[in-house]
Amino acid sequence: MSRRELAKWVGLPLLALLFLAAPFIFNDPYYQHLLILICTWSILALGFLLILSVGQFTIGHAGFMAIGAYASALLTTKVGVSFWFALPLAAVIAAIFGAVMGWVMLRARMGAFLLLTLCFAEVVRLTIVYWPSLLGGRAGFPNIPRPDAIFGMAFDSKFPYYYLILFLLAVMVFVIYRMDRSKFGLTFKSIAQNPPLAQSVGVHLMRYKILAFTVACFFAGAAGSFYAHYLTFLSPEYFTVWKSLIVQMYAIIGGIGFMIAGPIAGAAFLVVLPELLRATETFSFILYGAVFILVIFFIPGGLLSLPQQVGVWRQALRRRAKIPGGIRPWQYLRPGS
Amino acid sequence: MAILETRQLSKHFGGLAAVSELDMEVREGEILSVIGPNGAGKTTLFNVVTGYMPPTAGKVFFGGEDITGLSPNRIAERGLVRTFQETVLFARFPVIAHILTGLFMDSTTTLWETLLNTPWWFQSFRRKRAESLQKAAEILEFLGLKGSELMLATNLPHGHQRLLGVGIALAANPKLLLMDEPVTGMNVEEANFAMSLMRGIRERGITVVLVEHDMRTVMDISDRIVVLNYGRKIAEGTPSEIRANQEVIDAYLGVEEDVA
Repeated sequence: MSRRELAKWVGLPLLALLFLAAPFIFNDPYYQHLLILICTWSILALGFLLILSVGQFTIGHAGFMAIGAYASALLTTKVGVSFWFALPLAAVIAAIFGAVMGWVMLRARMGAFLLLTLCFAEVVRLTIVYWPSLLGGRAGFPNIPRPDAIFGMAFDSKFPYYYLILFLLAVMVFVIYRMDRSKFGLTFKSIAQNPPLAQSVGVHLMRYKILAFTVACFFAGAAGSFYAHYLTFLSPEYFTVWKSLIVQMYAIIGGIGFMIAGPIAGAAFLVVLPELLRATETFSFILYGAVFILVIFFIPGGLLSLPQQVGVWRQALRRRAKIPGGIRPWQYLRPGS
Repeated sequence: MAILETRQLSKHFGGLAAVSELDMEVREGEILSVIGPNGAGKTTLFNVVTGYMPPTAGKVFFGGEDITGLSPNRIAERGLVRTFQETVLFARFPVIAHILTGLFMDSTTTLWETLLNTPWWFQSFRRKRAESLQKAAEILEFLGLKGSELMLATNLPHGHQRLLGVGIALAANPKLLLMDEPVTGMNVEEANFAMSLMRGIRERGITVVLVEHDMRTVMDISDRIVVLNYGRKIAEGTPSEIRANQEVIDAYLGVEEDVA
């Protein structure tokens, strides 16, 4: 069996099994909470990377998660819809916001787009803060009901929550996987690399950019809805710009060359790392910054490119060893030098 | 019959008239060259015709329809496809992916097919993909790029990169192909191959318009030539007529010995 086949038929099922068995392996509510967070933020980071694949860099993705979260909270408490209807509805609402805002914002390129998404996320957050009568304002949105029992599974432990968010993650992974391996992925990437050339063969740039953006927002909305009913409490402080920035860190630290595994690996690494070091929240921000800088500097392909990167280092060291004057690693550990 | 026609087409950049009141027509099935000194407005003409820049005044007709002011992708959909002057490719794509991107309009795969079609369901997703790969292979064979399908385009020799640019445009199934300096930077051998390709493209029923500086290529291959200077058409005719035209010699060709 080739390495590729080995990865496909042995590696992937093992990985899937690991994800399915994770809450039993880490049978402790706190660890399970971390697992749930990993899946939630993976969905956001996957969305970030999907938008990046059409060449647009967003730092406002948490804003769409907030829309999904508050939409779902309103639907269940004020309208009285069951969670199982509110979740897809919230996703659709976030997707509609995504399509409309995408239609407006995606005309801007690079830096301008980045600022627009930032502003949008802030507008969403400030709307929540300054509309206390409906959205709870700074004090938060309390008493969001837990999901109703489904298939005889009551939501009284972490297990059903984990499998629900894992299911959402799996759906998103499937969608991205299929799109990535079809005409759509090819078109997205061609737009990112050379818009005029893509246009010259008939690609409607805006249509495909909006498609990628809307899909990402749909899943961000679904994740938001889940998040609301998991915590049963929402605060605008959950959806600050920091959250969006950390989401893009997940994707970049995991490796933007890895459309699916990268964001998930990055989210897992960055959620677990502060716990391993028993860091407080303030300290974990510093930690994230340090890790981010180190990864960008030394492993620009992301954590998942570490095997290739090690090869590059070894080559550099071998070349260096023949030159008198010894090894100065800081000169040679950077790729491309 | 005129497949492409410009009427009183003008493009001004501030006070500079890059293209000025240009009346020009391209006949179906011919190879037409647009020549002129640097800054004569040739590339601007291409950009305006293919929708990359809006004209200041005037109209463009393609196949009898007014296409003035349409976006580049809409114009490409109608069968008017261009190549670019600089070697512009997709830096992170292998060769085959370029052609598959070019086949974009050809592929009718919908989002739902993409998401739902698994091998044991109905087969249309896989069948369409196989058809696209087949077409891409034919185009690469035609361009003589067979065997380098999986190479990164940036690793190809320059001449091959230019050919790949033509391949992307060909994949988009053009009726009229606008080529902006296709043989620039090619050696004699590559340029000869490129010329035979252009004839091959014409034989496939595709009308060809090229902007070119290489006089040997232009005189050799063109059915007709349009000469621009300062955005105006100063001459039009067969290669031998152009060679004999005093105004063209003054503006562009210089003494006749240089041409021959």
